[in-house]
Amino acid sequence: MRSYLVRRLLAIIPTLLAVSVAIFLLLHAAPGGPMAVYANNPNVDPEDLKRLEASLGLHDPYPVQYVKWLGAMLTGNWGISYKYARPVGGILGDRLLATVQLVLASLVIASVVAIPVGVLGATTRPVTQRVIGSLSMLGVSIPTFWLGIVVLLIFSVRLRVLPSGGMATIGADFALTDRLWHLVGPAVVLATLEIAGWSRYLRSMLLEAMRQDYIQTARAKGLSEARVILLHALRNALLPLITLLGLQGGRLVGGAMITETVFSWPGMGRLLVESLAARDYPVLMASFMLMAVLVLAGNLAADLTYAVGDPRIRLD
Amino acid sequence: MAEPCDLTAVEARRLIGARGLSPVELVESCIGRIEQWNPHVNAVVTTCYDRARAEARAAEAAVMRGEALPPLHGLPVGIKDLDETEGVRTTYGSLLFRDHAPDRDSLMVAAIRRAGGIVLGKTNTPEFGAGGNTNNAWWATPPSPAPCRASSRPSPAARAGELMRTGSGLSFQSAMETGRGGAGGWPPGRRCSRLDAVDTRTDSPHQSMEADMTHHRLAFTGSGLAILLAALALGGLATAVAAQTPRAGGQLVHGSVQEPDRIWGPVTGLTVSTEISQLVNASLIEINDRLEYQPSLATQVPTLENGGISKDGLRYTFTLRKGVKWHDGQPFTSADVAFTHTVILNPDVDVRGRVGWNKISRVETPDDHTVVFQFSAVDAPFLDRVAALGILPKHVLGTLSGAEIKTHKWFRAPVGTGPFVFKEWVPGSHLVLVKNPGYWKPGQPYLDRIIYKIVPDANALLNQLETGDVDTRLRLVNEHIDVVKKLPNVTLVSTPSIVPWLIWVNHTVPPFNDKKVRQALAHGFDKARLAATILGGHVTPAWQLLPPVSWAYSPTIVRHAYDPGKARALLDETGWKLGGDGVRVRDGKRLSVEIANIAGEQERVQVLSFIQQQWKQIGVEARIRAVDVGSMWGAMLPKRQYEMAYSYSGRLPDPDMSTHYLSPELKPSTNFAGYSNAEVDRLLLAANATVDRATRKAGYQKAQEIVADDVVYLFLYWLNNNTVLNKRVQGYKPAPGYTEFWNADEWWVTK
Repeated sequence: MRSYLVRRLLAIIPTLLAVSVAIFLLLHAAPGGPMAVYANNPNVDPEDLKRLEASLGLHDPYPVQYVKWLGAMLTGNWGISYKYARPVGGILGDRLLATVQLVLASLVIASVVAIPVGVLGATTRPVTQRVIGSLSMLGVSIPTFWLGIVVLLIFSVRLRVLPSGGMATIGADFALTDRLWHLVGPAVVLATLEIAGWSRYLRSMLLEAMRQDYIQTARAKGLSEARVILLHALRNALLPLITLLGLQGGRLVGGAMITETVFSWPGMGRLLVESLAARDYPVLMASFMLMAVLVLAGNLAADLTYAVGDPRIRLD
Repeated sequence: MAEPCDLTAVEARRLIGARGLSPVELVESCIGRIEQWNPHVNAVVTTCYDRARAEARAAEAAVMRGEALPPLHGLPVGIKDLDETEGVRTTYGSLLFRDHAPDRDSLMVAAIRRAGGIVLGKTNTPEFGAGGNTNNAWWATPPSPAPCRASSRPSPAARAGELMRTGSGLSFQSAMETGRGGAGGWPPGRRCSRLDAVDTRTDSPHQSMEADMTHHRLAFTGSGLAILLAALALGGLATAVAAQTPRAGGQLVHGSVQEPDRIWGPVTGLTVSTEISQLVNASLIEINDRLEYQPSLATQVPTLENGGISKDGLRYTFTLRKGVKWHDGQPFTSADVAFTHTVILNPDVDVRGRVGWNKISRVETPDDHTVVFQFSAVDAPFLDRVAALGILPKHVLGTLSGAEIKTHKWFRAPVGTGPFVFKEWVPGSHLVLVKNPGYWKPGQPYLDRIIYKIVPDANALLNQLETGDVDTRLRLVNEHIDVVKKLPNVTLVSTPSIVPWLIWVNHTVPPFNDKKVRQALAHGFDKARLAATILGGHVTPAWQLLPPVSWAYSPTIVRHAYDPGKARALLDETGWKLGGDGVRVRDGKRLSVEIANIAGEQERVQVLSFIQQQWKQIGVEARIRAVDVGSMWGAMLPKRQYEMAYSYSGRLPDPDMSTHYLSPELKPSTNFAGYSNAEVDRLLLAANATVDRATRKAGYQKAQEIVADDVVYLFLYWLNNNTVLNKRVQGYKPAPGYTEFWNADEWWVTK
């Protein structure tokens, strides 16, 4: 196990390098640059823009730019944003916590709801199963954007039970209840898609688990149906779901873009969209590398958990 | 079926201004309705149709010439027969004045005419205004036993009467006559007076007056006098209520879809950043809602007349206000202004635009309250630039290097001299600005706090306007206008902006280097219809770069109006013949053009689809290509790698148009069209070399005539700036060429 861990950790390095090169090339391949938005400004002369681009090092050849960036990154200097003229670390720090809160909350809600729904989907009467199946199909198809707006319209504008957006009531001091009240709307909307997907996945895994021989043995031993399903079948069916969860790691950074926009949630998703439009390379490179690290770490965690949970798997 | 006479006055006027309705049509429609119903309701007693028709024709001509139109331009008005109308019989409802035609209008009627109203005729009145109905010896016959047909919804009669209401202080009478406030129905059982005794179809001949009419009018009945006095009192009360005094205190929440980046104009490209900068960082002068300069930190706007600008335009002197303090208590002096100038030119600070500032050879500060800018070459729009520049505090940034200034946190937490003090910025969420207690205008700002809330989704922002979570919103998208109009707690203020939307044409790419082809394309689509239909009348069609409010606007340039026949003829002339598939061909090449469009807004696609359809009729194929902002402005336009591109063009209030028309070889130039004309260059350079408005205006107008004929760009429209205000917000005045917070120190809230 230990050698496996070491090998996996070492393998992360070339992966990250390859990812960074790919992202770098893709970003710079998009036409236009960080100075594009100023071209329409009556106070700006094209000479000014060329001067600015040169000062940001954008006229150097790509390999030079990349190596400069890499060197800075490795020494902890994540660069200065073109748009905000602030160190990138500060910008990310402001937004990251907000997104992490939101995504974690949605993952918690999704897990808590998806598991019972998945179990029900596999074990109740066929009619109910079909109803649950259709509902989850609906859940998978609903676009987050639309759902977010509808939730806002019904619960915030008409019923006035939810706030109209943001993380906290403006001007008020920190209060946990206030924060949770603001978190409910976006977290539920974000969770809906996952609940639908995961419950379907869990249902099929559960059905497959229930066809196994050990289930018959358990029933033969005289265990109640509830114990058979929840204690034996479910534990085995849950394992692949945990892998899925691990793969959600990358989403902790950029996965809630649309929901954040609709609910005015000050998170990373919006930052990414704005930075893409503005071609703010330092912010973009740092954000995407962070996502890559989280995806890789999540993958590793998922693999390890699977190995721990399923004794049949041996990692070496 | 809806007729022009069924429109509300506001709607009709708007359509007239947008060229969606002709005053002639409107007048004819009203005349038709009057003729249809007046025999039954007897509302109109004298008409002056011929004169009205002539005025309507003149009004129509004024619209087509693109003149600035007064508020009631082209609207038909009925004048109550108690008010004198020049040359039109005015009887005051009395037999005594049966042939009386005044030789001048009353003040109110004169004002209505001046505002563009077209008088259609005189409406019925009780004798000398005494009484609550229109029964008088003139127009009433003994009561008819047959009552009028009553209806619960507004009858056409009531509407005819409604059309004929006047703005006199005695209008509450006409309200009684035409059914309680105009929109109500005709009360059942009401007696109708029948019009039979008098011919209303001809204008009465002019007759000279012998005596002062008001003298006679009041002398005759006591009740007439009483009613007149009551009306005057009501009128007085109304004006008092209208001019409320500002109330100090309260908070305003402003909603924006964009978040600011750095709160100082020269280092940002975002309007929202300059807006907040306007609230916190004052500038030497300001621009008001009439596009005039106003003093701010300077006590006087420098002009040629007052000597603030030297005769050769190379020396500007500003006298600074005494006693102004920065938000941290330090005194504001001329050293701060000189320092700001050095920051702009500092190569290590990433100021985006130095246009104009780099013509200043030195800044002199003879004392703490005088600043002199000495130029090496004339920068004609300099005052516009000064109005847009917030002054930096030397005591905060003065000792730092350029690189340190660039990343300094002042740009995220500014200390300024403006009406509001920066308090807090929660990234992604909101900014808080509080009242500056030491602001140099006494008693202002009225507001205690402004919260600048960031709501990135336009629909969510609309929701918040509806619930009152947000009080104000600028630049409302056109799709939401109809929704906002129905909300009870907000008002919508629409002003034409000075920013034109246009289609750039790349003159370096054939066939667009051919003037006739460009003219054909201009003739090939119907701009007025585009404005009225797809854009819902929320725009003003544009035929040139400068908007009508600009002092150098040219109403007389040639306009290539919609004329598909002419377009086809021009294309035939240039050798583009219709091919088999309906698209013109020449030398084996098809006349197919690609129009780049910034993706994201449905309305833009609709506009281009409209043009695409119409160009199809003249044999031109247009392909619409969606690109993003970075591609269009970073690559396609600056490098001229496009055929046509549709977007807006950022403009200063100053009419300087070198960025659009000066040849690419001359600097500075963002002439993305690649247009080059030596005569235009000469005119523009001469106009920019002086600060004398008359000379500049002459030069710009001549240049505009040439470029209009050359069809350098296909101008489309000026979008309206749509501002949504909660009804509690007072004091807002739109500023088409400037940020909308220019007078935020005068805003106040009612509760």
